Amino acid sequence: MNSKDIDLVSLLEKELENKPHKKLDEIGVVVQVGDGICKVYGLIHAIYGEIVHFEGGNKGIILNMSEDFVSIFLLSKSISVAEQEVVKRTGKAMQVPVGDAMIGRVVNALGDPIDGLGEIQTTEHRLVEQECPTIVERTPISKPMQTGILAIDALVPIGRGQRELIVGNRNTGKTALAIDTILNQKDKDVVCVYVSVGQRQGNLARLVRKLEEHGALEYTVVLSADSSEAVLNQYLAPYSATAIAEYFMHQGKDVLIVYDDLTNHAIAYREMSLLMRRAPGREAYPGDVFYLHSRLLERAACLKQGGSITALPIIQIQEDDITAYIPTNLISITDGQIFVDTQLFNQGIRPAINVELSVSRVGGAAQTNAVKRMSKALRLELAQYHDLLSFAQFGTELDEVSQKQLNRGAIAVEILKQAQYLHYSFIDEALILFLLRFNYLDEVDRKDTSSFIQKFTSYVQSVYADIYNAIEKEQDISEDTVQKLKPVAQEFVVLFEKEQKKS
Amino acid sequence: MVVSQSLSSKKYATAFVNVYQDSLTLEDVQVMMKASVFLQRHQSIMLLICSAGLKKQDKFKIIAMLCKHFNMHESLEKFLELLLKKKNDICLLPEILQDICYLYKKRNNILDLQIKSAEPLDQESVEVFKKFFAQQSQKDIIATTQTDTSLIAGVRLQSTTFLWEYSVASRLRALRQKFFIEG
Repeated sequence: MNSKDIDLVSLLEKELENKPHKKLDEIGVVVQVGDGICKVYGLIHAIYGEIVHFEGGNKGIILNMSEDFVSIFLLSKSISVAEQEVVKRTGKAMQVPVGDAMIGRVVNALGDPIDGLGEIQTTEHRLVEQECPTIVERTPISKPMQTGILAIDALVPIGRGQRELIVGNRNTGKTALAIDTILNQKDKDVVCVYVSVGQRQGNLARLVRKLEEHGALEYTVVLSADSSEAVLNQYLAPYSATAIAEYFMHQGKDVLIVYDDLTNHAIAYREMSLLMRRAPGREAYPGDVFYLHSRLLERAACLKQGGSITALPIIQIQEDDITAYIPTNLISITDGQIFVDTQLFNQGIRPAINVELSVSRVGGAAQTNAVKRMSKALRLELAQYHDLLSFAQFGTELDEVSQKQLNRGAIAVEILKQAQYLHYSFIDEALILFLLRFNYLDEVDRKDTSSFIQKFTSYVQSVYADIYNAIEKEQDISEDTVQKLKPVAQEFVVLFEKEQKKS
Repeated sequence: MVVSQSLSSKKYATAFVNVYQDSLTLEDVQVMMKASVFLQRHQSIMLLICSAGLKKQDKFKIIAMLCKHFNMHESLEKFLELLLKKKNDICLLPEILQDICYLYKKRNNILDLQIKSAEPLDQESVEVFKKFFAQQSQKDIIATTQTDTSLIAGVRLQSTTFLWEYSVASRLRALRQKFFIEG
């Protein structure tokens, strides 16, 4: 509403018509003000996590309580709080608006729009801090969450309801993996929620534009608490986003939530804890930093009644050290991790997924049979390749078998390379893995591998649509289909060679 | 009336109130509060008492003068001498006095109420407000009145833990919150 449209006098008259209430407001008095925090005397019946209103217009949340004082974190940096200012209880815990109207919008940690597209019309609100689903409400993960990235879908598959950590140094393509996964959910009836914690506003604007360009904003909610915002907002952002995701989950929908990134979230919480004078522990984090993330990620689930939340938390490490405090915590909380390697990234291998350090603890059960069957030996082949590669570096003469293994490994690495914004369907993935498994790529020039596999999948889809559709229908490549595909592959190899000679 | 933020002063105050609770009166406590405010405003006296250069006998004399000036509870002098023997703890004197006052009122269910009004109130109105506040808070009320024109019209009853306000200023604040802060 425009302030010019408001008739203040009539509103004041209306306000004055209200009779005085007969009860006293429970209040406190600010005795100390710090950076985003204040100490308040009073508020005797206040509860942990309660929202309070300051007389000056600011709001805050009670996050520490002692015998006489409570520590309140402020939600706004721009509204000042003064000593002796009165603070009123609201009796309410933090809530965010939820609903279908949130889709396609960019909001802050309080659920207020920040994209300049006007108010969000929602009728429901959900508590930011919620109990996670119980064991009885959950069901084992059985449906895959296709990322469209071959290296992930084949080697570290993610199931709907799983929590898969993306870990790596800065600028190694962690966010790119998550964004590609969001883009791949188009027309798949999955709602995506992207949470940006402590990131630069410019990065977020670029990301939103990218989502918009690819038509992904139509099924995505973006929640941001950038680095300039109050530390409380950065702390709340992942919880608020999860509350929004839970709304869709309880509607029976599948939700993908990306937390980018939880390192900044832990840093924000550390700052808050130190301001609250809680005892610092390892790396100055408070003792309950594990609980900070475990209670967040436990809210990701696959429900019996239908609906799921798949969580992709991202964490940034330094110098490939995954044994730091926050990474080890998150590795133990999540159901697997995708390790993005700087060395691989610098070698031009994108996505730079380190297959040996990446693991998916539950996703295998959700993998489609087609991909599962075709990728059986891939992990082993890659491991043998990396072993032999380090051995070969000494200049040792290798026997024929080893040479063959090296060659196959190099081809495997080549097919796992994938450009950003290029997504494969599970059928394409199965077909690519089929080519590798039955050695159709051995004679293809290494630099042409990418072009070969892409053309082959299009060839099967357009010329042999019956085989393509059969794989889609059965979600499997049966022995019968394999026999049908073999002559197709041979035929395509000849065609490809001819085309290469021509060009 | 707010408790101080010093844990040590609260411990001393608790000990003092535990021992002398029965002999303390509201007047004693109010005198202590006055002394506390006086010492907080006149830091130079505290500097003198805490100074290492001054002889102990002289410090005792200052404390005796202070107690005499404010006509403080006789047991307090002994207590302050004890604090003086404990080197630096005498520096907590203003906070200790404040905490004694706070604890006494808390234990005796007494609440300080500030009645602010845009226009001066007559005694009858003050009594009505006191009665209302006592009923709602279930505490004995010690009220002080103040004329505050910033209320524009109306009245504001405030203690450290409860508030009741019916004024034009509060309505304007509510409107400001609704339209200009929350949008």
